[in-house]
Amino acid sequence: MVDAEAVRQCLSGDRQAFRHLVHRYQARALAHARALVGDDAGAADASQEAFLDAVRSLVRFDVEREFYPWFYVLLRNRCFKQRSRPGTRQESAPVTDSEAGGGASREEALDLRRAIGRLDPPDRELVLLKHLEGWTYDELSARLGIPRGTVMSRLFHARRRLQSLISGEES
Amino acid sequence: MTNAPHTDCDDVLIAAMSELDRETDGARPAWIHAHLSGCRGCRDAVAGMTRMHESLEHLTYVAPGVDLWPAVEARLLPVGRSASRETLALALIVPAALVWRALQVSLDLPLPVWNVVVPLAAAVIVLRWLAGDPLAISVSTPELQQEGA
Repeated sequence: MVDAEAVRQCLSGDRQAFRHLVHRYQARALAHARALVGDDAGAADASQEAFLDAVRSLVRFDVEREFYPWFYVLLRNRCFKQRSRPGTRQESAPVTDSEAGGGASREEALDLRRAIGRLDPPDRELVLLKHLEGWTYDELSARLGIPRGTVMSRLFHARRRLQSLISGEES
Repeated sequence: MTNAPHTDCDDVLIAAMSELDRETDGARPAWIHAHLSGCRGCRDAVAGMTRMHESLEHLTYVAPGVDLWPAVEARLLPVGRSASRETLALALIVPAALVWRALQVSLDLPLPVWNVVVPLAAAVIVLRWLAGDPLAISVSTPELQQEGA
């Protein structure tokens, strides 16, 4: 089933159709939520709330567009609320997996995953959206509400920090 | 006046990174070439970034350890029920107002009873029906999940 069809069925009253969207996007949602919130339980809560927000707001979704970028805005809001709750833990958590490739050994890939887990949440978010979602600078700028130049600069500094973490210059 | 106004290493590296991200069209500008040919630090940095960029391109998502659907589904039903109750309440407002007005005209009750007590009682009953008992102790699904985790 394609996303647009699932959304149409859901809007016509078949709430089971939403299962398709949850199953298709929950891995991405949990990874991004973990990047922003910092712990598994908080990420699961935020993702679950975001999916419920999506059901409530589905009438405003344009089926001609991609589902995940629209959903990501809801998820991000939920993550910020989750982070502002007292007692929310800020742990470094592995948010990605990786295949050894591009000349990188399995060990290098593991170092990279650990380093991403140690980035600050805003930097981690940018790196994941750029490299896992493949969003362009313009898409990052529009969807995160920051100027294009700031996207470039923040990505640059996030990657430099990643390099420092991997090379052990930063502990 | 120099022909290479961009000599700041950060500017060069940001531009080089845009190339790696395939965000530029066309060939590498001459000012980047000029800077890189004379700056060993930037050449090394670009080489390191290129290698890291390749590794980043191989990232994948961790398979989720939990399935969110059962919890979402459990909370979808109350959402649907609440929405249908709201729709019904809205649909009943006009007939209820007409009945109230008809009773006002036909029965001779004191004005405060008609204009204050009856609408207030009706509002309390409808709100309680829509939102549930405000004094009831409820536990939300996320709280239950956290306790179970």
